Amino acid sequence: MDFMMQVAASFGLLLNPTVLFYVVAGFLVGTLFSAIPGLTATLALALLLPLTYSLDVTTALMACASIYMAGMCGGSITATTINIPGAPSSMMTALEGYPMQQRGEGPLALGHAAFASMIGGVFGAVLLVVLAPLIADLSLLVQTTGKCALILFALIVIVIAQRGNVRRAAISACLGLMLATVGLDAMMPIARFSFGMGELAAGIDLMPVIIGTFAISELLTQLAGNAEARRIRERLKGVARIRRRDFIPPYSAIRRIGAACYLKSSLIGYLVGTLPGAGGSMGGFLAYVETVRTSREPDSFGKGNPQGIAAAESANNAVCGGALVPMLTFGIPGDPITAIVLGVLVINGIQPGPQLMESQAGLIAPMLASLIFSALILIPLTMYLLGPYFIRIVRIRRDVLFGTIAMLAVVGSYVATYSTFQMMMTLLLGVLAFYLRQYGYPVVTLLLGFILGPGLEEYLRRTLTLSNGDPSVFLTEPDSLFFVLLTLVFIYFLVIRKPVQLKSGESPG
Amino acid sequence: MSCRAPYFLRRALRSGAAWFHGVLALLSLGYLAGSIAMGPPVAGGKLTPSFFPLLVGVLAVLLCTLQWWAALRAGPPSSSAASAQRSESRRRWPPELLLMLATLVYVLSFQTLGYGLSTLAYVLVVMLFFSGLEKWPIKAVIALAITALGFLIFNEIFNIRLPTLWG
Repeated sequence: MDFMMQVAASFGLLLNPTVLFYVVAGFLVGTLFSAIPGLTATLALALLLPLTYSLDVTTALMACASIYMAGMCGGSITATTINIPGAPSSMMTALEGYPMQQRGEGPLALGHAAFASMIGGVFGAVLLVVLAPLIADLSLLVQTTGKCALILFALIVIVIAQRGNVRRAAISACLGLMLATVGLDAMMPIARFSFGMGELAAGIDLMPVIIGTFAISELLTQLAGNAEARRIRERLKGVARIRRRDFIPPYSAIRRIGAACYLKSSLIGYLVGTLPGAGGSMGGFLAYVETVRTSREPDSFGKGNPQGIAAAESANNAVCGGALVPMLTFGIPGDPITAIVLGVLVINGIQPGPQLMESQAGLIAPMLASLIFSALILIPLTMYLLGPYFIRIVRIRRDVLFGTIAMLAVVGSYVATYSTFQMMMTLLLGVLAFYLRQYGYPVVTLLLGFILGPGLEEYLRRTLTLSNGDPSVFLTEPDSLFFVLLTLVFIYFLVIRKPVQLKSGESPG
Repeated sequence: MSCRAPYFLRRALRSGAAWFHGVLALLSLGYLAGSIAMGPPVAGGKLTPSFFPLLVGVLAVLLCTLQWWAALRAGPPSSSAASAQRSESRRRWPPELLLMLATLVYVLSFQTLGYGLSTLAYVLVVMLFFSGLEKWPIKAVIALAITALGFLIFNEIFNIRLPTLWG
């Protein structure tokens, strides 16, 4: 209850013009980045990360929350108008939004998407506020062996969630773990893989890994696919002008969709969000499939049914609240965005983990308030005020956009230590990530391997030292046994049992 | 006596993916060798700093070798994809490679030339890569504006001291 009061009181921070500026600016940047096909809110957050060195940590976390929320709904703009989701989370929205656009109801589809995003976002954030302190209390029961099993569970689930690409995902995770072992050993003062270089002895900073894997590699990938992006830009020129009043969905249409659809989809999104590696695309996909399955008119889906948009969008925005649960309660990020939020905490000397909700409630509460504010106020307001200009904004000149991104990424990596060594590391990791992506390796597992690696090593060594090298301790300790069994359950459902099949040409991302 | 490479190696040379997987396998092997050089994983009943890297190294070598082997077995890409790849390789300097080089030059000159000059040149080069040489004077003006915006954000708003040409 105390925590809920703290969150409620944190809304007062939004009256501070500076804080409000960063929250609104973050939301707009997140919307822009998620609306442009190929760019993501993760990239927007990666570019913001260097600025958090100088920004007040509360404000930085609030801005991160608004970017996260915007990232989940902005993708619906191009998903609806040109059938190309701006973000993977809006993939299912394209299935219903584009047919609506073709029959002249594009703005209405966007209005439905915004309304559902608002419901899902608020639902997920409120559930997070209510449940996170309880889960944090439970997480205190997890001991060293259990923590090791938990991190292994997270890593394994993130890898096997990359369906059809598991071996590459595992290699990518191994690369992340390898990078994490560079530098001084956590338990003995021995430098590893530093090759006599002082900078490497201190270890590889999180900043070059994030900026390299998400900004530099994106820059190179976008340049490699420049011709295709130009064609998308040309298609956007053909989209008819949108009027503001066309966005507002009529009450009758909302009633037809039904409160049950919004709430059930939001709950699915929230639960999916708590799983490592699942993300908004999986949440949207499962909610959409469930809505089609339980619908009285399943044949109307795929032809412009607003219920499909409502299911997908409320689920992907509810993912935001769910995804923050493992990060805030266990210090384990499940996707790149929560990994970057974790990076903001680490940069500011805050140790994420079970104690975080108790010791740093003053920092976490404003972030959750910003999450609710973004969903409840900024999503509908942005759609209503900026909706008619979205297409023009998304058509921003690519050379200007990527010139700015390149500058922010490279100079941003200099900010951490005022050394060009960090810039060089950023470039090296960016080139590695670019080639990994070119050959089908998911870079998200690299990032999460890098972040989870130090914890995994520390707990594994402690566990085996305490048990005199006996690995059976993982099966005899109840907390670790729980996570081992949970891992097996996930392996069964995601690897052994045939996953849900999509129609041809569709993919959950 | 002709010295022909084995069939699977000739296939590998025709596939860029196999090259990349092979490089990753070599990288993992180098990492594993480095871990072994660190000493035994257990000493005096305690786990040493080489324990975890050894574990990760073995796993990485195993997975990378499997991936490489799978790429070798799959062989080179289909004829249409192969012709696309050939035309790609005919472009001796793909734009992404040039951008990597431009970024390297930028990083190396950042301290020497200072933020202003190096960033202006880098942003202009990035813009030209994305939209070609036409109307370059206008692009130079935009690059100048982006550089000024970066200075405003980093130096003025966030008080981050950026290097200058004269120290």
